Amino acid sequence: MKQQRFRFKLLALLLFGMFALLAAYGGYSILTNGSRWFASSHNPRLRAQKQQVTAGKITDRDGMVLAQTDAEGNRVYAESESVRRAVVHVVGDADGHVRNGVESFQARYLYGFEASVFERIGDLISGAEHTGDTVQLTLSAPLCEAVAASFVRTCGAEAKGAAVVMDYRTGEVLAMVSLGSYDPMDTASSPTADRTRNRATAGLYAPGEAFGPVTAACMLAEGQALPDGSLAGAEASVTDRKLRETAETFGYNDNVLFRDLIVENAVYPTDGSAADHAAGRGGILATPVHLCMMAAGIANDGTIMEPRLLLRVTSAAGANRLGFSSAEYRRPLSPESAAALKARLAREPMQGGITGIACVSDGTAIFVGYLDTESLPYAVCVVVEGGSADQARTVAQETANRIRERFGAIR
Amino acid sequence: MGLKKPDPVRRAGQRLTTVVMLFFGSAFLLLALDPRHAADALTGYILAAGVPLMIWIGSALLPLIFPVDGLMLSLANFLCALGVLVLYDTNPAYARQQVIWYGVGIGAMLICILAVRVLRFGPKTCGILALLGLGFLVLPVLFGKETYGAKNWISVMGMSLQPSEAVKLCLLIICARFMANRRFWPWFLFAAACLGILMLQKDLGTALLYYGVTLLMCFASTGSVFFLFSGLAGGAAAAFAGYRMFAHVKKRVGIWLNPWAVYDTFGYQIVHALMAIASGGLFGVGLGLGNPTAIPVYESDFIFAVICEQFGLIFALCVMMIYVAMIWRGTTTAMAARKGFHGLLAAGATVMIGLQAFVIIGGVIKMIPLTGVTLPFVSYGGTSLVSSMCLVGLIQGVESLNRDNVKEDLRLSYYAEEAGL
Repeated sequence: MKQQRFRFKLLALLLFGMFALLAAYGGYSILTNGSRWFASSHNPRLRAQKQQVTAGKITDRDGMVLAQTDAEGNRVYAESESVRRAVVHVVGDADGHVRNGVESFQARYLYGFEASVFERIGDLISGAEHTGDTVQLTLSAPLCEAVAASFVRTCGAEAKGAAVVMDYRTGEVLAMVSLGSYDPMDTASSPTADRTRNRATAGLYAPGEAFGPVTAACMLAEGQALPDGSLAGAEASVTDRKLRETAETFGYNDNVLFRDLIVENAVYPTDGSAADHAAGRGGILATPVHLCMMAAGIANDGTIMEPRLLLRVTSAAGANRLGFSSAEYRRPLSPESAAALKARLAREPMQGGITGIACVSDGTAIFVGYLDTESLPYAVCVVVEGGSADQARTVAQETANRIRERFGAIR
Repeated sequence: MGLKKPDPVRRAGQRLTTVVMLFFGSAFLLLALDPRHAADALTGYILAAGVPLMIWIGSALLPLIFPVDGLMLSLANFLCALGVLVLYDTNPAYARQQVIWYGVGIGAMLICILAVRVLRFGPKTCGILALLGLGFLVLPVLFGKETYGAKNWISVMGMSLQPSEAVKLCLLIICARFMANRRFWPWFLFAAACLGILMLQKDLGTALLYYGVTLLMCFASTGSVFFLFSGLAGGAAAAFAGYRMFAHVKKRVGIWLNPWAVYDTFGYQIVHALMAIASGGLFGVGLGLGNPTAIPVYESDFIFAVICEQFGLIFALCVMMIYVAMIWRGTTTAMAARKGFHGLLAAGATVMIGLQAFVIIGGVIKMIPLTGVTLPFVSYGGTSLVSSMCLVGLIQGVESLNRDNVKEDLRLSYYAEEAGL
């Protein structure tokens, strides 16, 4: 009987462990995936809440209104059409054409789901209409507008691609533009799926020579000397396994769950040759956001910050609901390796105070780099479908110039 | 002669019962006053008085009849009342039926306590139980209707019954008896036959439950680690073979891995559960609020998602803690049993409750593939609720014998002292 009692105890411990696992898994998955589950277009609660709550405003980092609800209860967007077109993939639209825009992904705030019991009771007593929170983004709407204009000027009105500007010290996304675009206020026609897709977060591109820094990081980790001259397309003498391990430290093959953004996972395939992979081909894919993060990691002494889109969330009464907080995503490089890569990247043929690699891969032009002014800690990625390396570089340089004009004086 | 020191566990049980009664009385009143429930307000007022009364009968009155564990009764009654509350909010007609089953469950629990105290459950009784159990279990294969892919229900006089819920009591009694007597074949053949019939019904969740409970009871009885791991390996191999051979198993695993990808066809149940859980956040949207009826099978398999939506993650964790507390009390009862049969019976019933709760909660939160079992005490369904109360009855029957034994020991030691022995 004594032994049997001991075994009863073991069974109880086993069950306790199983319930502990349930609690841990449940808590973890809700905290990490809850926003995504909630913001799903299938969620009938969102539709129901939209009938009862006046949705909150969405503003850029300087307070420019990007979306708000008018007196008739309709959702209206920025006054300027060029701004609307530049930010529509980030902000989203009332009809839900854009998947995972702020309008849907941050519906928890915009439609007042985060209101406290006291606020709800206060609304009930005062009879005031319940209004959602104001979401202030890290985006600079004028910068987004300027980037889109530069894109169109350089690559043509029908150009398709994406551009991302990110503060590599904090992870704040200053600009995120996806082209082709559409006007969310134009309700007469329904935009095609090609125009509603956010290429910056959901477009997967073969990085080609823009993958060079990862290959170089692998060579440094293996104690090998970097090749002379350009990093782009450098012959690598590393095994595919080592290269994949290095790429994974940069976030490839990671199931990314950022707090403010839904980004497609970057892929490093399990099969293929090291030669192809070292050159950023053979099934390697990454989004413009991920490529920008890669450049940001090198510029930020080897630390990649999590990209953030929310600067602040305030309740209708003005109370601060959520403040911006930076978080480290990965640390793929030591500061020494990052310095070595920066020194080598500085040899790339660039002008206009921006350092990086411009290339064409699978018919898509890509630029990844960062401003070489310490007081302007911004990484830039430009992707032009069917474009040339020069076009991508030009858009990046004009973006850098615009950043300097806009933020240089402040800093 | 000093004052008798009150039993702290008993006092905790009494306090808990009072708090639980107040909680549910006010919760039903709140819902009854809600204009949404205007048509069923009378039901709400009756439940506001009736459910606390039933909790009192089940938790406070019963210990006056039998020497049982009041704390465990309070916990079980809390879960039953929570089920009725959630059902009243989502579908008052279900709540009316459930509260009747709750009353039947309290009666069935009493019968089980009595049965454990009075009956020996010898080989002959177990033989009759085995025949009855198998006969009952095979009925859905012959006359059942297929619901959500499994053919595990029968309809009797307009009532739907799930025989596997009742047969699990037979399984526990037969396993406990023959394992305690060290007789391998009777329990093994019965458990194997049950599993075979459940596989024919495609009732994978119940089959998993039967298998897990039998295996763990066998380990508790023999202490054979080899047997335990062989059983686990055999179960894993069977699961793998099932995955390769049966399309519906493959489909379940596919849904589990990525329900969003198959939302329009098979994944909508789990997707809606996840959205409801996420909508509740930490503190829930509040009783009577939210959109719980958007969750498919909200009254039964997915009732835990409704609890998460309305009461929040923290409350849901507390519900899990209640199951953990029941496991703790059940194990204490099993450990204090004087006979192997009673110990195994209490341990088996405890494992059955714990494992069933784990399987369904794990499925709803997408930790494991979803299998259609009910959340013990909470889910809508007469057979499920009554069989869960019977499991508590089996444990309490053993507990009452334990307390009788302790009383007898005290009496004997008193006489021994008196006699100067």
